[in-house]
Amino acid sequence: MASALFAGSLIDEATQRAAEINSKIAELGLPWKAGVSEVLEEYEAAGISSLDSLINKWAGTRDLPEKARKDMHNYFFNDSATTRDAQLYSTEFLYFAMFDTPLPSSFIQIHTPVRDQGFHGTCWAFATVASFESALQVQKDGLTGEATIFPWKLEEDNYDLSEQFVAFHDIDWDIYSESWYDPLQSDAIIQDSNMDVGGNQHFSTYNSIRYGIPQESDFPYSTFDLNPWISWNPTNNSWEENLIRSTKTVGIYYGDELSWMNFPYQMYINSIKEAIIKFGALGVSFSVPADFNYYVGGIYIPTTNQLTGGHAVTLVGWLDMDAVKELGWVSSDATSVEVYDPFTGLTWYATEFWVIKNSWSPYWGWNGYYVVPMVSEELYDISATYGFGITPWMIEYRMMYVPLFEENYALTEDIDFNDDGDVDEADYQLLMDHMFTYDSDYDISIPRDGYVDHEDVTRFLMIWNDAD
Amino acid sequence: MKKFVLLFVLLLTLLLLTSCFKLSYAVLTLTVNPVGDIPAGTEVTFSWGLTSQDELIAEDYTLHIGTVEVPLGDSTSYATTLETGDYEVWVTANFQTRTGVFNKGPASTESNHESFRVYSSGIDFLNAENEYATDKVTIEWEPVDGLTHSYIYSLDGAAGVETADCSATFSGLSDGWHTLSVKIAESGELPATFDFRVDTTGPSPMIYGSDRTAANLADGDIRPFGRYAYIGWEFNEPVSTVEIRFRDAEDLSVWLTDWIPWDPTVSGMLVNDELVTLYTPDGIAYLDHIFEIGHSYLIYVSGYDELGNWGYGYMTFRFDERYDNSEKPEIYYFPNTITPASTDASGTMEIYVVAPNVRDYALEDIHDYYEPDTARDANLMYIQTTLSFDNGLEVEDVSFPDFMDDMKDLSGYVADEGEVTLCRGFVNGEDEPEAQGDVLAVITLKFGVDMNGESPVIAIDNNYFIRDSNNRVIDGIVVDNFGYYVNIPAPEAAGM
Repeated sequence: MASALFAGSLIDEATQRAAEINSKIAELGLPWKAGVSEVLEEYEAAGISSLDSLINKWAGTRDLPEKARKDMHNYFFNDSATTRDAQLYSTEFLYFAMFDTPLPSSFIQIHTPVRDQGFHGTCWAFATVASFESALQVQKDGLTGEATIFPWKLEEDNYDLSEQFVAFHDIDWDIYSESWYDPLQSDAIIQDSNMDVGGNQHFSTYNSIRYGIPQESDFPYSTFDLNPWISWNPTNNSWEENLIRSTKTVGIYYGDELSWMNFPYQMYINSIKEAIIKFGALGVSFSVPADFNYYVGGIYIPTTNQLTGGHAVTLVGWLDMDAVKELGWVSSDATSVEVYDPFTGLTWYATEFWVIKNSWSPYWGWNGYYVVPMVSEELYDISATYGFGITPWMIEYRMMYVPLFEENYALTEDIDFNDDGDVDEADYQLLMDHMFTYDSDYDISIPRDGYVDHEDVTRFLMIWNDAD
Repeated sequence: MKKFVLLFVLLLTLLLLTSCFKLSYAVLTLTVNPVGDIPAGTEVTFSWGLTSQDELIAEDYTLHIGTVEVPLGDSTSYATTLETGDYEVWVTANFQTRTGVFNKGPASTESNHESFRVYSSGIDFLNAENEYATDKVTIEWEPVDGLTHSYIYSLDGAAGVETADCSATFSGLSDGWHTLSVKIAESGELPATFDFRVDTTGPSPMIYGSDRTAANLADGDIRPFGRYAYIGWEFNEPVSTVEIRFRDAEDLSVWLTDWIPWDPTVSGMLVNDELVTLYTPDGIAYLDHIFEIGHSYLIYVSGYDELGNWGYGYMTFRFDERYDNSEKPEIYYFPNTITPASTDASGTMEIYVVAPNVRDYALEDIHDYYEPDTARDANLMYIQTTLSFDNGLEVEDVSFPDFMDDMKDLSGYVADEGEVTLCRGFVNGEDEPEAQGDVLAVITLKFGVDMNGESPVIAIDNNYFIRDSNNRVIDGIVVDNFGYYVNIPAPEAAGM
């Protein structure tokens, strides 16, 4: 959205850059617009004068080292992991589509309002909390979304949890990185640090389990303090009483790797959609093209292959072609939207689009949101065949996360496996006998995944205790 | 006859007096321009003039430049450039004059001799190096022209000092760069300069490390939130040799190590209370369990700069955890008994998987003092670990001693090729009569005679799950995932 803005160095610079991007958009015929968001007024008033430093702070997600990604692959798809943050992995539950959920052609999940991360590299904390709040709305409160073209209509402001607290518990990246290469460490070491240096949802979702998240009012966010660290600022002594913890983290694996492993396209896309519907909005991330910050509306497609950093955001739903036509972003007779990817030089055609909630205030972008093309089956198959195609600016390039609150799932599964009327050691032994199989009779985990493993055993134990 | 001689003399006298038979007389004067010593490359002009009271009617000059003769006819000047050296120059002339109608001569004459020097202002400094680890430095030089000169030198712009020597010695120099300017005293050219550096100070490392910076959790030293710290350093100048050393900060009389040689290309290390990797110039070494949680230590980092000056710095560090070393919740294994195989029976290896402090760690509310950690756990409900082992071993039996009082054990295992997964659940119900202990499982592996004398690798896999009764992870348990060689003795060694 454009607005009458007072002159200042930050605004001036952004105005000039937006004009350059609009020229490029017109040249390429892209379905989005660039502009200067009103939110920049707020930053300028706070004394921020460097646009580059702001963009750097906004992009606060750090990628895991390549070795971490390879070992995550080994963890989930081989029998053993090779890293020491095994405890963290032990809380991640890879979700694959069960094809048991009706998927509307357009859908926006219930979620909380757009927040503002201000002048800190804390997007990863905001994405974690946004997903956490949506998951509470869906799993605890039983709320759900609907098909609409305006995502803000599904904003429900009944949870406001502390991004400050989440951001305070970043990791010590020196220790983490060094432990990867230390020959005497059999596992990567995860340890806390509150430096404002960017984070990753791989850790913050784990912290949501072990630490929990307090109320925003107990740990208010400090937007413009300009400190290089995140402050510990509880406002009352009983803040711990209001902590909310998740139980485990549901993960959607990297789309490009799934394509290489020949997971079908529909399996991948439905995994994302089912997870949104069943569990809540997903925390996602992407590499930020240099023109992204100037988005004010439409379907964003980069005009440049220059990147400015990594950013974490919240995937709240998707739109189909009818929806984007209704929004006036494509012509009424269009059957798809052409996507030219400046990173690969490939041209593909999107027919569905992700709706994403950003954390740069409601005065950025499309009322705080933006829309990007969803990977098409054609592009996914190119990735499967040639090993490239899904590129870093796409959210399908990285893991997606949503917390799971197991206490909201009633312990009703039948664990009398031998049907003798008693639940005892014999049933447990039957479960042991079926460990690491795909026997659905013993698949009692939350969520179900068709596989019998530790998640089913712990569910068994909880049901046992609950019945006692 | 006498009359003839007298007449001749009278006639000669008359001729001389009438100047028709006088000898030619002239003065030849040489001038050299420029005057004095001449810088090399400067054109020198020799000019001369022959003056006589008679009319000069013929002149033939030769310029003498040292041993070189330059015939110049009737020219009265000559310009040239000369090589460096000392010169004596003069002109000789053959000439004839006329007085009245009478010609005189030919005669010859020689000019005044002029001496001068053609010199070069160039100076070459002879010092092979320009960096010194001492505050007393002698700088030597030589003139390019090889001639003897006097010189004027100036150090760092101070007043010039004249010397006939080709060196100057300076004492008490401060650290840093200095400039010596030297010129040949008579030269009008700019002086030659020699820049040199004095460095008598050793390198100084800036040491930094994992730390909390807010909420008064750190005091400027290295205080990580946990039992690991990354300690890094940066020297203020290039170093050729680095060493590190550790000291007890709470008892300075105790040095935990001697100076440890360190790879100067590695500028940091991961320290912790278990194994610490050392990057030495000869390869990787390690420190084994020398630090304790909750105790303060000092790390010293020293280095030699490229001139051999030594300097060091130090920093305190301390690990903090939710437990101290005696309370650390751990999971590891050890081989208890090993019986080699014989032709009649398989060999057996009894492996104990133990989990000291794990049970109590979950139960006790030990986090209260350790804000901002808010990890609170319910009771321990489930431990799943996998022991993996090399080919040649297989599971014969697994037993599960009682691990938790007042809870019912639900235990099982899944054996597969090369691994056994232990699944221990603890639920509400009647406790086993056995007293609780720290042994999670006793695994009996069997093997054949081909394994006698071998050293198979056995490890606890990274795939482990530790959950409380809310099915949440119990964070902070240290699982030893290293693979270790377990030696199976030969029957003779086992006394069989």
